[in-house]
Amino acid sequence: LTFERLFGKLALMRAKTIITTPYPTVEEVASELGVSMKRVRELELMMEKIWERKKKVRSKTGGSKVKAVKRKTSQ
Amino acid sequence: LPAGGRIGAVVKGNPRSRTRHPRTETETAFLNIPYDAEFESLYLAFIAGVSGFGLIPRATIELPGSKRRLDRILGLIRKSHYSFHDLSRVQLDRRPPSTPRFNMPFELGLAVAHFSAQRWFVFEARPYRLNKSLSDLDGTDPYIHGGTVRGVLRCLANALSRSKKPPRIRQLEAIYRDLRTAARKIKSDIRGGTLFETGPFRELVVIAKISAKKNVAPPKQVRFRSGNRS
Repeated sequence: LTFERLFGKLALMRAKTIITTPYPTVEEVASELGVSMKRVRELELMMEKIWERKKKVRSKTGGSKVKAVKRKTSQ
Repeated sequence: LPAGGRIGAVVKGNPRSRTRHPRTETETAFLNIPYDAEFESLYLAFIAGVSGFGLIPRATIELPGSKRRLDRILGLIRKSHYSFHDLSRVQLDRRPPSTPRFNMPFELGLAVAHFSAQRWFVFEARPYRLNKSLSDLDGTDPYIHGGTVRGVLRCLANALSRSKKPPRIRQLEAIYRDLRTAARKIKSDIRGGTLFETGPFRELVVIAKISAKKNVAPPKQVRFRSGNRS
């Protein structure tokens, strides 16, 4: 890299904004937005189901969607 | 609380006698993005990305009430710590009379007046278009996402970082995938409604946080070994 090119690249780079506050908890997010804890529990349950289903699909297909498609077409 | 004491207390057995700082307030981010079906995937990407960085997304669609709309928007901007503005919808509205939408540039103006630099971010789908559509922002480089989900997440990762364990793009993508699956379920539950409404928006933010908790591991609490150093 020549000095001009390097300088040009550096000039294009913007400083990132660094977030220093800790990650909010699910409860904090819910209370900020006014979502009831009952609904939060329902949503958590829904996500558990989604992850479980995804895990099952992955274990059946050996870890990837591509394999699942290939198996289907080869049958 | 982790074993070792109260928040803000000196941890026993710590050779350097570090104090744990109390949690500060959570930070929120104002999302100024188009609310139309074509933009749905990018809408989810913004929620996923911003949540992945530990911010709580807020938007004007979650503002029901009898107060004047402008007052509600101003209140939301004042409460927020960051703002993200996507100015990629510049075309004319199809419905007659055909006009461009001025809401987003207007809200960007309000945010620029309110926030200091590095607290507001402008996104565009195409490079150099902003120079023409909003030349007052010359000298401010927008983040070009190319109209793709990966582009939005990449731009957010270019704009933001965390002091400890910043999320990687593949982790943000995992949150987005979870959010997309959950959004389908929410859509079927609300029967004919859209995701651009108060209830679905709030639930999507909570879901993004649930997913972020799983996919983006928060920094672990440091545990100090008791005992003397030789």
